[in-house]
Amino acid sequence: MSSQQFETFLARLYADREFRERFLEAPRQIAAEAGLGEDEQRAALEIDQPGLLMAARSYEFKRAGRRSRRRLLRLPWRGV
Amino acid sequence: MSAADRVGLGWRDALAASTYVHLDSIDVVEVILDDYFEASARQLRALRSLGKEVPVLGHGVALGLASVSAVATSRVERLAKVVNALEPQIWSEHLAFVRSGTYEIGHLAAPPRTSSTIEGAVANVETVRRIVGTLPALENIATLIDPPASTMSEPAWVTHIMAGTGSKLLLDLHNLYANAVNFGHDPFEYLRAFPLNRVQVVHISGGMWIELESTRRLLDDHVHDVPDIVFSMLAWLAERCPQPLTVILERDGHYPEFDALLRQLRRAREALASGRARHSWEAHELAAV
Repeated sequence: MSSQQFETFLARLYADREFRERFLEAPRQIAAEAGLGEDEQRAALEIDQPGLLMAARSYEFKRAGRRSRRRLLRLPWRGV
Repeated sequence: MSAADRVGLGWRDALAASTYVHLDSIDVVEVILDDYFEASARQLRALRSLGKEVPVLGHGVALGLASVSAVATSRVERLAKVVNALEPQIWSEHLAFVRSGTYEIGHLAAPPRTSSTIEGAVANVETVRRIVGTLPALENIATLIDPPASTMSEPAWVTHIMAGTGSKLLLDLHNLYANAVNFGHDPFEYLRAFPLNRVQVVHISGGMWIELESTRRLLDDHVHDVPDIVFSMLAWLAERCPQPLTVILERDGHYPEFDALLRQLRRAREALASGRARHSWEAHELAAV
């Protein structure tokens, strides 16, 4: 497993906030609509959700090209 | 530390003046190749002149080699131009994917650890070798998400890619530490499982703990000091890897006084020396038996 389609699905989850929110609302439907194979759909449903949110916001931050600690702490996680 | 071990610093504009002044304490610098993609011929000549002052390594950050998709040759050609101008002693890239389809992730993401991404990485590294003319060392990345659809562990996946490409390993100890603690592994056991005989370069850096909905993870951010455990891991590594190691401290922001960075370089030297000394002592003890 791990087709280009699945990589693109992951890249979109990480880069497209609206798509990610729709996925988290209705993961089964969005995974099916993405045209993933059966195993890939299962992997999508089992995704590490806190990790997805943390990673996606971290990538968003990198794309914005800002690195201040204050902005890092403004992300939806809590610095501990 | 062995005579061939080296300790250096990531080359950053904000640190350039201080780095130049302290080259007596810095054995090597590592330049981000992507920062020079738009550089003029004059800027590239200036970059090359840096190599006359101090040994230089090159580091790419956005090829996205660990992917089932073929790396774009136009990207590799751009990188090759900088590598050829700089002529670094070693150059490296990450075991990551950074884009797919029309989506740019904007940073290094861990692909599913599968035989497909191993095959993709091996093919992409061969493309890069053909265009650039030399093999990159390959770096393990940190991830906040356990890569979905993976069928093998990270150390096994990295080992297969090293075997398939023939590349050396750029072992980022803070990335490895973050992945270990984020996904329930003992850091030293996790380190032991990597192909340590392939390690050529080591990155050290720092990060911060973050928490979301009661999940706590370590974010590798390069804007904090190197934690003690990473120095312990470096000593552990130096004890077990007989080959020369080049250690690079990565710092990408919130720069402290330069003395604080020099102190971390000294601690890296001490860690290497302590690991090498333990190795020599054990070899001596074994010989005496």
